This record gives sequence, structure tokens and C-alpha cells, in this order.
Amino acid sequence: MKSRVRSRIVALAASLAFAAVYALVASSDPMGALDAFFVSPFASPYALRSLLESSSSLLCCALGACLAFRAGAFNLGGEGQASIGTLAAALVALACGNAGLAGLDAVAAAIAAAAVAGAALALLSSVAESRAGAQVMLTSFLFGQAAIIGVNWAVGGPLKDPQANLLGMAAVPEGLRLPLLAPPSPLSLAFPISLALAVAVVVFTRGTRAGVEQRILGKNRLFARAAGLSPRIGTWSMAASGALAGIGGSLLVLGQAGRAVKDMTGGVGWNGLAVALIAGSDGLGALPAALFFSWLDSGARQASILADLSPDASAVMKGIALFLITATREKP
Amino acid sequence: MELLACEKISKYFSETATLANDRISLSLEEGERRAVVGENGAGKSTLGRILAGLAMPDSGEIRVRGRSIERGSVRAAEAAGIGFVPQVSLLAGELTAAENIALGREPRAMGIFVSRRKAYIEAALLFERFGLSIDPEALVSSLSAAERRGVEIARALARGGEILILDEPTSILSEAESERLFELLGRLTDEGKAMLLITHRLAEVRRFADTLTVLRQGRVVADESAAHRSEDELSNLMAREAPSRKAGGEGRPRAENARRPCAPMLELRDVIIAPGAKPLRLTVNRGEVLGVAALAGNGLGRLEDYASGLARPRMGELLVAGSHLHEARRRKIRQLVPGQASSCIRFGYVPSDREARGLCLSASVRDNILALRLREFRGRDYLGGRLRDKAALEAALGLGLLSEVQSTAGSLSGGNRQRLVLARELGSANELSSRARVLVLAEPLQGLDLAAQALVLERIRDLADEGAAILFLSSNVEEIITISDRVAALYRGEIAYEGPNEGGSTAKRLLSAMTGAQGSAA
Amino acid sequence: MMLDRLTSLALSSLSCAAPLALAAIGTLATEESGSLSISIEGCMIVGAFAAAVSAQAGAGLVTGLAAGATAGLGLSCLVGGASLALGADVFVAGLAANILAPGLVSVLSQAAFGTKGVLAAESLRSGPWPILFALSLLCLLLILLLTRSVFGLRLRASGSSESRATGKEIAQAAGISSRRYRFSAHLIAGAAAGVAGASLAAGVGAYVPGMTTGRGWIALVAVFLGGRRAWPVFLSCLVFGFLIALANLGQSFWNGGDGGGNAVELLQALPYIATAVALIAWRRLEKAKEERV
Repeated sequence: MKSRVRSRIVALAASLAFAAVYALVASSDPMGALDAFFVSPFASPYALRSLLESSSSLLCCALGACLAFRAGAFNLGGEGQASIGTLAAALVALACGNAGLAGLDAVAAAIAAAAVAGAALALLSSVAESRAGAQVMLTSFLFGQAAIIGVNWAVGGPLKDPQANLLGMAAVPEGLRLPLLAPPSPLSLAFPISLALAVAVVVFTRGTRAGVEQRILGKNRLFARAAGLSPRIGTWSMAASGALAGIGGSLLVLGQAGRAVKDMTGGVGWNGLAVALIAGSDGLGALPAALFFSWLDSGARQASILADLSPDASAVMKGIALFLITATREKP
Repeated sequence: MELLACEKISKYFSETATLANDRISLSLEEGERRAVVGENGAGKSTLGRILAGLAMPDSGEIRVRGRSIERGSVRAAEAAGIGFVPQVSLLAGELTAAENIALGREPRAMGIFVSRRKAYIEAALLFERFGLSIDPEALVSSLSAAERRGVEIARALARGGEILILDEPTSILSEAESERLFELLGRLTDEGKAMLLITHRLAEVRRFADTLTVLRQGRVVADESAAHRSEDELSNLMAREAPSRKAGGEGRPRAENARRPCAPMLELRDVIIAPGAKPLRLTVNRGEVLGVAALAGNGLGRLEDYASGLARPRMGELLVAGSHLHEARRRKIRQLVPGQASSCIRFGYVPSDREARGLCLSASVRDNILALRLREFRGRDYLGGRLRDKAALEAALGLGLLSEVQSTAGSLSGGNRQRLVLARELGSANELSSRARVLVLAEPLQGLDLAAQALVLERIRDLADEGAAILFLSSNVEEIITISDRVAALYRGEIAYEGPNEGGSTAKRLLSAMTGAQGSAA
Repeated sequence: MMLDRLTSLALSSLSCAAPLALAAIGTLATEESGSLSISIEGCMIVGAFAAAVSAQAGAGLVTGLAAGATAGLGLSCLVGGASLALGADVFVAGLAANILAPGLVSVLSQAAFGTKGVLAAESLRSGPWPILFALSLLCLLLILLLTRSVFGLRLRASGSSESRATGKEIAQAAGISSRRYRFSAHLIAGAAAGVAGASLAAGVGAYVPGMTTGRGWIALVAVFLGGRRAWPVFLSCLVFGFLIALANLGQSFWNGGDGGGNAVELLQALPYIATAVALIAWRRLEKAKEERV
């Protein structure tokens, strides 16, 4: 346990060190850059709430990846599952709007639709494995990429909003969006939802029988089989993984953006995977790691506006952190 | 003239927590044929690999012609003249036979390319010299096991030249093929090469070796001329200590068991264990212990796979309590679900490879022990697991496992890991259960000290008295005789002997059958 | 007219396929050696950037490609080193490289040139034929290396996977250090992908963020589809190159005005779906074969 925490702290420290060095070396206003990076994301309630909100979708995707890891599968289709979740949520929300339904029930329906869509996509890979023995790692990636292309085409093409000037669907009506918790900040119901899901996942992995079975399946498949554990735990884990990614996508659509646009997921699935790799498979570290990633993005963005650094510095830091985590022999 | 010598070789494996080699020393002269014999797990293969440079010993020295050579390096060993034929094929399946032989010393064309012609010629010449009809251009993955063995031998000779170490070379060969191999090896030693034959087939030792070294639990227990002892004596020497019959349960009246009606609980019907072997039939009745003895490489592993239900035999079937065991039913009888009908069987399985099939090393001791009883605590899952802790502790203590239930299984020593598996599969002495039990135990006493072995044997006896049907698989005849009601011997995948356990005379017959000295089943 | 269209489609197919093929064959080396590197996309990105940077100093095509190779080599050095020397999971290391690369390029570009956007590289710009020639030559050399050389043989032995022995053990039994060959395979893959990326920049005469458009992943898919043999991988790249060229053509042909929603866009999904189907079908056949025997 201790070495796990230690290696994460080392990774964290190293990526922060990079930020500091980068700020000092590349900026004409090093102090301003450091301030923009390390201080301003926390400097005001608005900034803090933005941080929490922006981590919601990422957290969901990360939880999904964690569950898949735990059962011994590398779900590489998270981006695609989130993508199909955005489409499903948008379709259901718009349909509800057209039918005159509104309120939290309708929002819940949209989110549920996204979960089902994501789960279905993930289950495709799971079935391919149990029937044909095709590795989940490969098929989830392939189906996921295909799904992204399909969703992008649909959103920018046949489902495009003819009146809008962007490549996206019609806006989701006000009553069907996630309510804001502390206007004018963007903090919405999305964050409590993702938080609740995180708690549920942790309770599941650490406190339930199925969680124990899942772990055994993931760590020693042969023993799981010999002991008579049902292989269905693996299937359910993939389904849950896809569902969580789908929910992550739905939070993007029903939140600030308010509509489904092309390339909506913007890497949340891949970032979620990276977060899960850093967090460890029981989901306990998912929230801090997701917040860390959100903070990196936010800090880099602020630094590029307020000082003259590149907003993509966060990607470098994420890469460094991931390298160090894996180099210290940590496996999910 | 001393060709090869090793001194005080030791090797400890942390993954399985065993001391495989314990200060082993031996020497080999020119033209000498030495056999290294020992039971499963005695450390023979490890020694062979160390001498060949495939493994690095923790301590000890290897000398060729009096000069110390670099350990842990295949190149150094080959340069010194040592060639190795491993037990597990170490050929690259995706490459051709010729390429495998050339690998590492490839003949070149234009400096960086492989000269396919030269490699072909070399391989063809080698095969011809040793009387092997193998196509050098054939992919190794398409070759039969015997042909692969042939390629390995050709390769070892092409590289080594002077000293040949063979690890169980006949384990996959037929009688005729084995004979040809020994003829070949004989010719080679006549040429002055030295040979180290690692085997447990005592008949082969008689046929081939001049001298032998006996290993037991990693240590040398005898180093002498091969003609010195009889096979029985050798076998006794090789066997790891097992509790004497007195401690085991000789005192129990066997008549009790003889009176029990025959109700077959575990049956293997017309199953083929090894290619070319006759279909096999085995039946274990209610309340009896059937001990099956076999030396490694004779099909005990395959028998274990089929009997445990983990592998489905391509021909024949496995019946448990009279009905076919399909995967769903197997899962059902493995897992204990409260509220299950009392007619439901409890199936216990102690695997010979406990790290692969019997444990989840990174999970806690508690989760491992309760792996079959996960549904027992339904509804009380969230209460910090205290109930589960308590149950796990109870089960563990029942077999003398003193350990924190929170620690991981991987942190336990080999002996304790075995206790964990046994605690889970055998259950504890005060468990009340009216359900019929079937147990498949493969080398269940491995890693245990004498006291623990006695404890386990007593528990097995108790279970049999309560009506369990127990299949006891082992390569140790002493254990089998101590605990079984009926015994059988497996040789080359066929039952070479089967009959009731009558003590000493049965032990002799088992031994002969196991080693292939006797031709037919009794 | 039709013939013109066809020849131009053929040419653009080849131009799209060539970088894919080079990157894929390079990665094939890592797959054959038993330590698959998935960092193609990342190496292509740094390769394209490095080529554009070299053009700032006036470099031409050859120097640009060499710069790309060096950059890709450097990144894959990290991946290979982390996985082989430090025991990192090679997959995660590759993923980290892919995440790192675009960010690193952006950071460096901003710091050195004050822009994280398009970086013009006029001296690097070349016509399709020289690029095609260079890439094809390198590709053929790599294939020769993998299939016929001593190095290639030992590489393949290192990646052998038998049911009871690992590639590492098999190589060791022949006196070969699998680690050394696997690391070399990583370097080759990185350099190849770097050149492929550089060729993209050379074709356009600039570095544009996101110009790789996931081609690195397509090359990886080609490696999966082709199994462990060079020519099937090569052929897959030709097919994928054709599909990409077709999709590009379709987009400019049926221009919907705002550039969105053409059914031709869906063509881009074909490589993924085709590979998935092929994988599943192949596995199914393998499984059936096992059960029959």
C-alpha cells in the first residue's frame, strides 16, 4: 500500500516540477505564469466550482475504466462509449422536449439512455471475447473508434441543427439540462452525480462479494474458473464500464454545452483511461486523480491566457505523470 | 578426466517460496553417463538449467575441465561445450527447424543476412547424422513433440559438443523412440562425450547410466554407481518423507469401509490421457480413497485436469454422482450457496499447481480462504467484513495456518500457501454438512512438514469416513499407501495396476507399475 | 477525364498508404519481438514537428525526414526504456507517449516560435513522387531487415510465444538477449513512424497541429489485421490508404458547403470495422480448429 501512494506522490511531484520549470524558462513573466498555473484555479469560488464541474465527465469515464481493469479487461473504447452516450442523451433529451416533458425525470431518462448505449457498445466486445476469443482490448478500441466516426457523422450531418451555425444538433431545452447549483458558476448537478457514482463504485469494489469476485477474476482468471466463479462478472464489468463512459458523455451534453456537437468528447475517454491508470483499480483514487487532471487543464489554460504559455502544457504533465506511474511497476 | 563439475549450487525461488537446489555438488568425466534422479520438485530441472546457463544460481561454482565458467550465461556454457535439451521445448515455433538450429550462430550471407542455404545444409547434415527424418524447412510449430525433441537434441549437439545435459528426454517419446534415443546417446558417449541424464524413470537409469546422483527436496542424498541399488531402494531414497503408516491411520479398521455399498461418485469413462494410450476408466466410490500414483510425465497432470472438470476430454466423459459434469454444473458444485439442496454435491479440488489454480496471490488470505463461500455472507457484506474475517480465521486455524487474514496470499511461505488451499478445500473438522463430497487432491502434501502432513491425512481419513469420495493423486508411493483404500498406478497414460491397498506388497507392485517395469495391469 | 480522376486517386492512395506502411512495418518489428509499441501516433507527431523545425533552418526533404526519424527515435527510446529497463507496462508507456507528444510539440512550438499553430516549412515541401520514393525505399529495406537478416531472425525468436515458454526464455536458450532486440525494435518503430510523420509535413510544406488525423492508430490497426507477417500488413496499409484517399476525394466532391455530414465520412470507419470483423472471424476459426483437434 505504501509504495503505491509513494509512487503516485513522486509522479505528481515530477509533473508539477515540470510546470514550474516550464513557467520559469518559457515565460516572460514567470511569477505571473506560476500564479496563473498554481493559484488561480483555486483563487475564487467561481474557479473552484468550474474545476469541480469540469472533472465530472472525466471522473465517470475514469470509473468505467477502473471497473474494466479490475475484471482484467483493458477497455480502450471509452472514448467511443462516451461519444455514443452524448448522442443517446441528446436524442432522448430532444425527444422529451418535443413531447413536452421536462424536469429531472426527463434528465434522468436521457442519462439512462446514454448509459444503456455505452453499455451496449462495450458489451459487443465482451461478447466477441466470450464467443470468439477476440481480445477485448482490441475490439473495444476498434468498435470505439468506429462509433466516434459514426457519431460525428450523424451529429454533423443528418442530425445537424439546420438553424445553428455550428456542426451540432439542436440545443437541449432549458428544462432538460442539468440544473446549476451555484450560478453564475458552471457547477451543475453533474458533479454530485459523478461523485455519487464514485462512491458507489468504491463501495462495490471494496465492500461487496461481487467486488471480491471481480478482483479475483481480474488477477487470476484460471483460479476464478477453478473456484467456480461465474465468468459473467467479467461481462457485467464491461457493461458497467461502458455505461459509466456513456454517462460521462451525457454529462457533457446536458451540462454547460447544452447540445451535442461534433467531436464533443474531446479526449475525455482517453483522459479517463489515463486517470484510471494513475488512480488504481479500486476507484478510490479516481476522484483526486480526476481533479488533478482537471486542474492541470485549467491551470494550463489560465497560464496561456494570463501569461504566454501553451495551454497544452497540461498534456505534457499528464504524460510525465503516466510515464512515472507505470515505470514504478504499478499495474492497475 | 573431469569434464564438468559443480559445487554447492543453491537456488531459491521466491515466487513459489521453495529452495529448489540446496548446495548440490556433482562431477562428470569424459564418456561418463550419469543420471540425476529424483521426484517431482526435487530440483533436477533447476539444476539442469543452471548448468546449462539458463538460470543463475544464488551460490555455487561450475567448472569445465577444471576452469570456472560464467554462470547464468548460455553463451558461456555453450562455449565451454555444454549442450542442453530442456524438458519444456525452447524452440521458436514460428521459425523453421533449420532457423532454430542456426539461431545465435547464424551462417551469414553478405554480413547481415542469414544464409538460408548454409543453415539448411547444416541442419540437414545434423539430422542425417542422428538418423532423424525432419524437414529443415518445416516450421517447428508443425512438428510433432518427438520431432521437436529431435531438433532440440541436434541443436544441443551442434552447439555444445562435449557435454550433453538432457532433461526428461523420453517423457514424450514412445518406447521405440526412446530406445533409438538411447542408442544414439550411447554412440555419442562412446565418442567421448559426457552425458547427464535427468530423469525419474528408474528403468531408464538401469538401461543407460553408469553413475547416478539422487536428489531429494533439493539436496543430494546419494552419489554412486548405478548398479549399486535396486529400484525399490532407489525409490525409497527419492521419496520425500511421508508420515509412516502408524501416524496416518493404519489403526482404523478397514472393514468399516469394505462394508459400505459401492456408490460411484466420480467416474472417468473411456478417457484418453496420452496420445496413443488406451482409453482409461477410473471410479471413485462413496466413502473411499482411491490413490493414483504416477511419476511426472506419465499423465497425472492430464488426469488431474479431466478429473477436476477444468478440461473437457475430447473422448470419453467425466461423471460426478452419475451425471455428466458440464461447466455450469461444475461451477454450481464448487461454490457453496446457503440454502442449496442437501442433495447438492460439494466438490473440492486441491491443484498440483497451486499458484496458478489454487490461489489469487494478490488477494488477501481471507478472500482466498472464503473463495468458495462468498455467497455465505450475503446481506452482511458491508459490515466491514468482520464476520468474514472470523470465518476465515476459523478455517485457517483448522489447518494450522497462523497468519493475519488481511495479509496477501503472496506473502505466505510455500507451506502456508498449501495450508491455505487445504483449509479452503477440505473444510474444517467441526463443519457440519450432510452434503456428499467429492474431492480431487493432486499432490496435496507438497510443501508441508511432517506434522502438517499427518494432520491433513487424518482429515482426509475423517472425510472418507463421513462418506466423501476422494481421488488422491501423487508421485509419492508412501503417501498413497498410507491413505488409500484402493490404489492404481499410471504409466504412459494408462492404468498399469489397480487393486485394493494391502500395505507393503501393494507398494512394491505400485512402484514397479509406475516405473514401467511391469508390463500389464494386475 | 475519368482516367485522370482514376490516376489521381491511385496516386493519392499511394501517397496516403506509404506513411502508413512505413509506420506499420516499423511497429511490426515491435510486435514480432514481443513488446508491441502503440506509440505510433505520438512518434508521427513529433516527427512531423521535427521536420518542420529543421525546415526553419532551411533543410530539404532528406534532412527533414532524418530529423523526423531522430525525433521519433527519441520518443520511442522513452517508451522502450521505461518498459524494458524499468518494468513499465509497454502498453501504458505507449499511451503516455501518445498523450505527451502533442502537448510537448505545442509547448516547444510556443516557446521557440511563439505559436502553437501552423508552422510553415517551405524548404521541406516536396512533390508526391520523391516522398513516395523515399518512403517505399525505407519500407522495403525494413521488410528485408525483418524477414531475411540475422537481426530479424533473432527479433522474431525473441517474440516467440509458445504455450509453455516465453519469448524471453526461448531467446535465452539460444544465447540471445531478448531485451536488446526488443529495445532495438522500439527504436526502429519510433524512427519509422517519425519519418512517416515527417513525410506528412513535407507533403504539405508545414506542420499543422492535428495533421496526423489518427493515421498512427490506423497503422496500428493494420498491424493487428496483418498478423505477424510483413506482406499482409503492407497490403492492409494499401487498402487503408485507398479508403482514406477515397474519403478525402468524396469530401471535396460532394462538398456539403459546411464540410459536414457526408456519408463518405463514414468510409473512415471502414478500417476499424473491417479489422474488428476480421479479428473476430479469425479467432473464431482458430477456436473451432482447436476444438476439432
